[in-house]
Amino acid sequence: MEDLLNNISERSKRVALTEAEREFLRVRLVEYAASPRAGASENFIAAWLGFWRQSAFALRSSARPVLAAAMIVAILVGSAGVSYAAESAMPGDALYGFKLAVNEEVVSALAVTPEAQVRWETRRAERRLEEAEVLADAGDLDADKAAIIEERINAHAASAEEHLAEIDRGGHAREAAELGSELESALRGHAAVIGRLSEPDDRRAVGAANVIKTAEKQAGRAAVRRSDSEQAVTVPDNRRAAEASLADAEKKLTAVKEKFAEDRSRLTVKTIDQAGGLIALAEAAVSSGRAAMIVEKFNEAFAVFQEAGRQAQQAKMLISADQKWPEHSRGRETLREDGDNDTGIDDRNVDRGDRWERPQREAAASDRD
Amino acid sequence: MNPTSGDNQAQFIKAYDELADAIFRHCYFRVYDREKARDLVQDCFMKTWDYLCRGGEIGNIKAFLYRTATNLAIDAGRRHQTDSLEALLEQGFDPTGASGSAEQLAETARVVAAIDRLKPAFRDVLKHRFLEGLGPQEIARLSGLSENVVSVRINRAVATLKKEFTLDKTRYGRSAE
Repeated sequence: MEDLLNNISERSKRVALTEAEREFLRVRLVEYAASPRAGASENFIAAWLGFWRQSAFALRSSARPVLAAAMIVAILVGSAGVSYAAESAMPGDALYGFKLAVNEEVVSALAVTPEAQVRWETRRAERRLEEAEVLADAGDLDADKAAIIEERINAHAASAEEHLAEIDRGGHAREAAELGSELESALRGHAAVIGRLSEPDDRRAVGAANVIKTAEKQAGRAAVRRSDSEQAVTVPDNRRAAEASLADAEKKLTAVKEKFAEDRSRLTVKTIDQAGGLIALAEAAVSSGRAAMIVEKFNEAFAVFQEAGRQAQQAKMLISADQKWPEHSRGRETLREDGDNDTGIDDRNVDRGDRWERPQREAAASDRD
Repeated sequence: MNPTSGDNQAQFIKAYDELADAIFRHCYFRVYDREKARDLVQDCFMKTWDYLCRGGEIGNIKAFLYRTATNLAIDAGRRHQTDSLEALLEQGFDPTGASGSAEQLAETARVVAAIDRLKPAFRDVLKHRFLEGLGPQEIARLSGLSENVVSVRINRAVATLKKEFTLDKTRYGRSAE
């Protein structure tokens, strides 16, 4: 038994985050710690100090020391609350440039792998689209603000594409396809939400329409690249890729079905139609992928499972959007003429509630064995 | 460690760099799901950061993270109970994510499932020792027990596991050796 346990112990050492997962979580954590959303809101001076020190850390570890140095200089000449205030800045605000050039560049400097860079650029594009959503909700998304957002979306998508190409060149087509799929899904989902939030008869709808057009154009480009990567997944990795993609799609599908069933009574008819349709499509895609696997068409199965995952994700985003913007979900039609199959809000930043118990030292007295 | 008293984000990120895999492994062998374990790692570090920002004091960051991860995993486990061998195998249990023979995986799954059937005190110490690769001294620090108690508990837990695994053998027809 001891030998068996020791063998298992050896094998268990291989249970670890992948490099991409580790980098992704690291970026999310740095972003979280630098944001006012964290407990920093209760002590933002402390967070500011940490932010400054983090920049110094970036300088030490960054492959781009000039950029990191520039950030530190910018921080030194700024005031202590700038970073905090900048996080909520919108296009047209004085601090918006600081948010993009300092807050976000600090995170960029810490994302050292191409995978982490793609995830961060995807997140940055989402942040721009979330800004557009807030502005559209307030009826304040005019053409000038839209132009600022569009320019940044194009830049983030181009940067993501560059890093995706690098991942492809490194022989990691599967990772490139998965990351490209996330980018595509995020862009399409948010575009549809903005469509819901803008008033078609308002002159400011031009701004929303422009942002939607840009997001969809970039989603289209991401789709082409993603498709190329999917085809490039090679034997013997394609079988494993298909299996992993199936598991991921099924997980997303199960989660959205549960959410759909739970929230259905509170959703608009339109959302029920759209989300229900997407779920049905995702289920059909999973069945189709399974059939492809039986005849060992693993690349085809991988692509279809990826598609199912995107559909499930977009259905989830649609349901979340309905709940986040209920007043817009009722009685307003999307700007898109064909707006019947995608939408979204990423719920990664939704407060999950504090279900954590403060750690307490376990009493040794419980040991009575 | 407290942001207001000299420690900072960089140190916190350093703690992440050093402990992310260990916390991931700790979570994985409680929820048996890579994606869920990854989410728990993220939650664990974020909650810890929140605690620090609220002025909380942490003497031993490693012990604190383990305890927080345990709380979160228990919470997740309440919603998605997954503690039977059948469930593990059904889910395509693959702890390394990179193979091993089918027989090795099945064997690992059987042992892990048997560990899960032990009482919490034995289960936790065996998971720390054999699945997370921690030594008795480290386990003692994390659990607040003496090193001697931990060593005794490991020995008793292994003996109990052996009995449990013998019963398992009759169910699945495999050798315990």
